[in-house]
Amino acid sequence: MIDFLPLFAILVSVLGAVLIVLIGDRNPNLREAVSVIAGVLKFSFVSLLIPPFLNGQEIYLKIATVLPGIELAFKVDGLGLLFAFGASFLWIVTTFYSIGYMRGLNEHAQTRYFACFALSLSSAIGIAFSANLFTMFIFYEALTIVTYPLVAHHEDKEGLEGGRQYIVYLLGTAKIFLFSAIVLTYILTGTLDFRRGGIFSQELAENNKFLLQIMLIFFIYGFNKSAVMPLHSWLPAAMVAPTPVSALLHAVAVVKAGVFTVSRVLLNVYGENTIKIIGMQDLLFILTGVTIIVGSLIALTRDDFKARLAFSTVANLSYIIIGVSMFSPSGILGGLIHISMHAFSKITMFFVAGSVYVSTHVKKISELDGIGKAMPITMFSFFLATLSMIGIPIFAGFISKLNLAIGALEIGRPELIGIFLASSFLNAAYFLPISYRAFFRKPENSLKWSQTKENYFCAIPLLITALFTIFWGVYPDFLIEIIRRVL
Amino acid sequence: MIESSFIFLIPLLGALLIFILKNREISKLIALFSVSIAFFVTLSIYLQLERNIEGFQFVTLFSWIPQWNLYFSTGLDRVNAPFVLLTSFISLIVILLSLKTIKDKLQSYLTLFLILSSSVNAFFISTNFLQFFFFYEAMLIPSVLLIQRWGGSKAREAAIKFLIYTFGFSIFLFISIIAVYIYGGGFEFERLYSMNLSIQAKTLLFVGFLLGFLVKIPVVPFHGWLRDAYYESPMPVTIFLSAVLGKMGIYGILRIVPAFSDVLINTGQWIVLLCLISFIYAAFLALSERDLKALFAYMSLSHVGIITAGALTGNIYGYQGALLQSINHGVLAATFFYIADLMHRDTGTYDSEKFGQLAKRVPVLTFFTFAFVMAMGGFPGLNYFNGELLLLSGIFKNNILFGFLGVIGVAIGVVYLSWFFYRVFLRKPGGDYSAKILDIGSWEFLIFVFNFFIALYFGLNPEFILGGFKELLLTFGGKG
Repeated sequence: MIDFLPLFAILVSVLGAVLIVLIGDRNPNLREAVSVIAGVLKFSFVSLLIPPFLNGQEIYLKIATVLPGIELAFKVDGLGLLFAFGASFLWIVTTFYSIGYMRGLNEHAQTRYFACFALSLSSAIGIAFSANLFTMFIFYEALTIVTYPLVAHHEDKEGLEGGRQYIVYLLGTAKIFLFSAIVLTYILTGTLDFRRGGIFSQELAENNKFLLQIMLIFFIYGFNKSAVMPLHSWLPAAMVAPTPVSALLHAVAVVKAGVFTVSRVLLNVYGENTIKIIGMQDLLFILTGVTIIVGSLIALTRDDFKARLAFSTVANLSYIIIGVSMFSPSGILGGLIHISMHAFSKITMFFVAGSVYVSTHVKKISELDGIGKAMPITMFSFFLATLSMIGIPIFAGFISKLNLAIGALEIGRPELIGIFLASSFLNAAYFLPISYRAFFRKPENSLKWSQTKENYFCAIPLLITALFTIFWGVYPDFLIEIIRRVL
Repeated sequence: MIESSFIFLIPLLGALLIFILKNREISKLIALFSVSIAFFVTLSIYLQLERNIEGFQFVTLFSWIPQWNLYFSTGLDRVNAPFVLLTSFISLIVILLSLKTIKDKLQSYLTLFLILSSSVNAFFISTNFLQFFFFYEAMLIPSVLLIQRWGGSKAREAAIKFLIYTFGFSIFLFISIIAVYIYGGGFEFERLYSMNLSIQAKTLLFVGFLLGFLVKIPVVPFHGWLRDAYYESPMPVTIFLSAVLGKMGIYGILRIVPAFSDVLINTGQWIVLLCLISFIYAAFLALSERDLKALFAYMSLSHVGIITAGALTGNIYGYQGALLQSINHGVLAATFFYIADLMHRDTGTYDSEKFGQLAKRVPVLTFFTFAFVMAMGGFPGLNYFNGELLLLSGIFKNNILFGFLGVIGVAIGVVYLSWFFYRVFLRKPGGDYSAKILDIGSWEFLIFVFNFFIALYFGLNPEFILGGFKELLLTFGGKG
């Protein structure tokens, strides 16, 4: 019975999506209730998996054997559980926020919006619990396709252009790079399963060094949702989407699916040995290090609120990959825990950007002077999230950055700490001015915010996620316990 | 006791009855009845077939001139059985469509079509080269007549071009078959495998066979007949041609390659490259085509390129991939032509620029088209993906660079499919013709559901077509 839970967790939001479409615009309250119920059920299914997992029970479900060595199968492990837990929890919060946002702005096509949202969560959970590359590829592609209508939601020129970039980048890289890498993996090993320590034998790795190097690059850019530079530009382009989409998908589900899949490949397809034999660790550090620094620098120059957040996301995703590619206990821990820590901080920030937009229709940071008085909960939450992003102790971001730094020392590469320090400094440089403007600058027109009110449907979810950044900073044990099983 | 020859005798008998009775209503019933029975006979044989043994089963054997080693013999094995099943299935679909769409001279049409279907199946179940060649050519007669008499305005030229191309190049096939008879001592397929020739002689023999097959598949640069023949044919015939006709050449290649594994390592490589170029070239043709029927014709041309490449790789992955993808392609290509036909039926045009934003107007058709675009685009978990995976595995195993060519072709395939879908179903503003389209009825719905079920089923269970995957490894001498 417990073996079926991953499948239920995936299917519950597919069922939800069907119901949402059937109910449609006739009864919006019922439709949104379905979303919430599906979210709660999904979260419960995922949570139910945690106790048996911690007891060391093997949870595996095979649906079909497609070809020899290729199965449609699900497996629960620490890495997947961590991702699924964060995504399914934040979906509930985001649903409430979406209700406030979409109704507040009177958006069109809300049925399609909620249905696609539910489907994208199914795909994300499917990625989390995939037992092999084949199953993962199915859900990875599905996630791209079902999120397209969300990105292009406004259907205007900008929206369609953003959507076009999104779909071309993600489908194109998956078809060219990822598919090649999967085929090559299959003919080299005869299997696509994930295994602890990787599936390439030492002999194979030594004989096919060059091929495996190319394949690794293909995997990293094939799973392009991880937005490693230079193939990152779909992510800022996708910011044309409504803010809850940017929040959940481009801070939690989609981009995290990207780094999750890359981590999976590094840990369970390649493994530490193979990576060291083919000598790709340095290249991984360089690619991700450059992405972190350059992404942060670009963020510094953006005045558009969401664009700044987007480039910050690009930079933060590479934290996770850099941590995993250290292959030291603290490095992997720091990288993987950043999946959750960054998710809670960044979703708060996106919620804030959206909440400000709902209340004031302002998109530019330079126009936010003095808004803190009108929207205190919102802007205070943003401040908390900022501290977490910078990595101040007792906040979530501190845990991941601390472990990443220890990891760098463990493998004797202290220069990596320089990257983390520089990027933390840049984080402060592009996020703190927002809080400063909000609370300490006066608007040019003193009556500018007199009509502005907080929308509580938006403000309460973002306060919750902001408080969670403190919670995870103080009590990270639960997440650490899950990740320890990966090591 | 079921015998394999029933598969082609039943439609032939149907054709004969229609010809004798000359009654429009009864002929409809007879046609439908004979293809249905043929389909169920095929299916029952298919399900009973032992896939892990070599050699033909359900054999029908007549002695003709025994002292010259001439026999009439039919049988099924794991290589031809999927093709026979495909042909019987597509014949059933095509008859169903024809009964709805063909108004003019229905009896003659049905007679010819049943003869066509019967001769194609007779080709697939032949167990010797003489019969193989006879039916390979015989099926041209009904198909040329069907194109010419029921086709579009330029059907006459199209039919003649088709005939000249395919008939002309068959001479090479014929020479190779005669060579097998002379040096091998008989026409049976096994004679080819046991022949003892020098590598040069083998290469010549192989090229002779290939020239005959590549024209029928077709592969660039032998594709001159394709666009016109597909375009000018009445839709049911187009569906039959695209789904089954090219597969005859692919089946021929699959039948002969185990005998030529040493040739494949050298000469075969160049032909694999040629096929991949064909794959990419035709994909570009499809990309620039705005006419839906021609677009799907080029899509078909493109895909058979990579299937042929896989068949010629000489390893088990490519071989299996070619077998699997032939069937997948047959089902999906037929479906795409059917979609084009539905649009043409309501509006009288195939021009994709005249449509747009159909998604709002015909949601059900949009949904199914999207599903089939996903399947054809190689969405993992659906049938086409497995074929692509095996084909590319085979090609990569041969030559990494060829593999990347294949991947590029596959990617272009996704581009023109999604571009087609976007242009016709999503793009604003809708064209003048969009308003005329009606959504599909329950009848079309059933066909779509069934075909999508096939896509899904073969996606998760390609074993149904491949039979003993591991056992086939042995046929290739463990070369996989």
